[in-house]
Amino acid sequence: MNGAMLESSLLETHFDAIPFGIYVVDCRTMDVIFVNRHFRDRQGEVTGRPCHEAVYGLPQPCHYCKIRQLTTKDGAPNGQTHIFELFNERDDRWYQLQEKAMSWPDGRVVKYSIAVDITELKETQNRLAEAHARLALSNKELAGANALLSEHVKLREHVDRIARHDLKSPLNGVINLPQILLERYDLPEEAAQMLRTIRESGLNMLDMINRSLDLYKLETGAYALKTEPVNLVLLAARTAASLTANAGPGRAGARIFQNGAPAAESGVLEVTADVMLCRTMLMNLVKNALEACPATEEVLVDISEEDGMAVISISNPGSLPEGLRERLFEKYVTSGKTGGTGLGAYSARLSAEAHGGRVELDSSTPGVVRVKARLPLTPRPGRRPGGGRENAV
Amino acid sequence: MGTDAINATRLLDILSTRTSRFFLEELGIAAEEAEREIEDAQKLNLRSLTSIMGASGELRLYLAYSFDEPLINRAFEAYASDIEVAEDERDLFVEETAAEIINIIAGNALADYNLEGPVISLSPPIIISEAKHLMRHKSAKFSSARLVTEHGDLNIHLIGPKHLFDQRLEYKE
Amino acid sequence: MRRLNIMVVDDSNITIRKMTKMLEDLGHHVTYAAVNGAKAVEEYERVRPDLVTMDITMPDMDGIEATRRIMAKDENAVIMVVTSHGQEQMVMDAIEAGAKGYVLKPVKPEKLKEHLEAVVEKYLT
Repeated sequence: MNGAMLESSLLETHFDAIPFGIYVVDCRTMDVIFVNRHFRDRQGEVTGRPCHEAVYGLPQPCHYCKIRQLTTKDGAPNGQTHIFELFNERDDRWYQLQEKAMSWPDGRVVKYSIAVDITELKETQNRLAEAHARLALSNKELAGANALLSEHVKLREHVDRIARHDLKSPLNGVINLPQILLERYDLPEEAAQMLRTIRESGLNMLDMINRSLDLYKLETGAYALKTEPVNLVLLAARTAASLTANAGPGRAGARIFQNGAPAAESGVLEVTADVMLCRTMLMNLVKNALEACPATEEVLVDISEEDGMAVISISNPGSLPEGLRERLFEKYVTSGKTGGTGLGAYSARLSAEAHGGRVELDSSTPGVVRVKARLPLTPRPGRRPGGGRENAV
Repeated sequence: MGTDAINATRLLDILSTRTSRFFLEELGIAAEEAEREIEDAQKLNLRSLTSIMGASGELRLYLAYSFDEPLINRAFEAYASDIEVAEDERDLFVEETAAEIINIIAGNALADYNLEGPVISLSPPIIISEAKHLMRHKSAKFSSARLVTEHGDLNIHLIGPKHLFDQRLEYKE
Repeated sequence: MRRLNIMVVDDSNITIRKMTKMLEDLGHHVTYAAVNGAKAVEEYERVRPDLVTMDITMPDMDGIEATRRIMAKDENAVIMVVTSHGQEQMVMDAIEAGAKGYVLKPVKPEKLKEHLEAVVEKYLT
């Protein structure tokens, strides 16, 4: 094999590797001298025949033939590339043709044409502007919706502020006047009971109003944790003592354990946490447990450490109604007790999540309802408060 | 064309292929580019009917589509095939067909030329219904492509710089 | 789709006639045709169409300015731009002016139907 043949064969190999149809024409005779594999596979072998007849099915040179524009007056390649589109009636498809002249290894000046099937592209090209318009329209509507949402949030914050200030003042009367009435007048027991109920409802309402801001901040992720070392054993013991004292006569109350054994007074499990949030969380969970179990039964609070997390496990005898289990930590869910706000377990969950922890229901022991709160020993970076966002109203 | 930013070859490539496609798909007329002159045409042939649009913004030139009479008549018949046109409206509607052809093709083509850049706006088309020659002088630059069909020829002309001409392609004094 | 009263705005009589034919074939009624933007703005309140199809390139006020002015008169106006311009900035300008749809010429009945249905579903039901 001589040099020219070798070069020619190399070139043909290169052309064969290109995944578009290529044909090469002698600029002087207009005979096809080579077609690549892609072309051959689709249109068959056409070398040796004039290009207008073999490729385009025309008896004479095509009127749009570009060969003259690809060479100099002396017939040498002029380096220009012609790009044009063509509809091929033979296969009913659009092609983009790129044509250029070059010197073939045997010395002939040839034109090569690369044909790329652009039928699909053609069909989508004019859809582009319309698709763009739809996108722009959606974006515009989205921006409008966002502005509206932001208005709503502002309005809600405004209403919240008003609510907290304006609701609290009238509550003063609701909470305090029954006490005065009870102390000053010797009322029949039925009337006294009603007054106590009014006062209790008022206190409940005040609690809700007081908590709503923190809850709102937790929900929206605006709550800033104020962390410090907190001894969970001590905090749990104090919470239990306070709740047991208020539970009323004849109630067993709550008892504190550490790692399954009754907690010593000197018991310590320290976490870095927001003490206010931890206290409310414990208060809510223990209170719920006390309210859910028979008066003579005890609520057990166990503090332990597991996998680098502090675990507060609160159990009481009893069982949860079907359908409540999955929704226990959702907003406004109560177990049918009177006077509940349905926010206790929900806010406990938000408090745990604000620390990068979580709350869960453990129903593995029949006849025992056990709620576990897990808190990292130090708050986890990267998780910001606001895990309850999807429940925000 | 008066500025380096305008690539006459590329613009003619786009207009020429868009025109072939529009003629084939919308009018059922096969049109292929036969020859081209870039920036050095000495005179432009305005055929029996020519529609002209002025581009402004990033591209300041005139675009002209100039039709042989049988071709624009054939194009009108195809374009208006789905509507009724009274005999006394015919001349107006033939002219409007020429205007709408350049409007649609140039509007579509500018998106190919300049999808994301600042807007190139086009003036409403105006029609010149007399054959004439436009000679090149001063610093004018003409680029031109000729498309052939079985009903006659069509020229696509790029004429600039825009400020040398009025919208009927007369040199300004 | 319910029968819509439509105003067609285009400076080309042949296009107005083609659009009218297509819209009426789709079961709608073209109540007014304006040959430029100024006329469309002037007549809008008298005609009060359900929908306007608006060309962009027109003498005597282009379609984007006309869209802006009609939207200022009636913020619930439903204007669908029908143009040959596909440049991105042109699309943005039209949407910014208040257009609720954008159809690229050349317009075919199927395409027009598809765009009309989308606009009707979103803004006219």
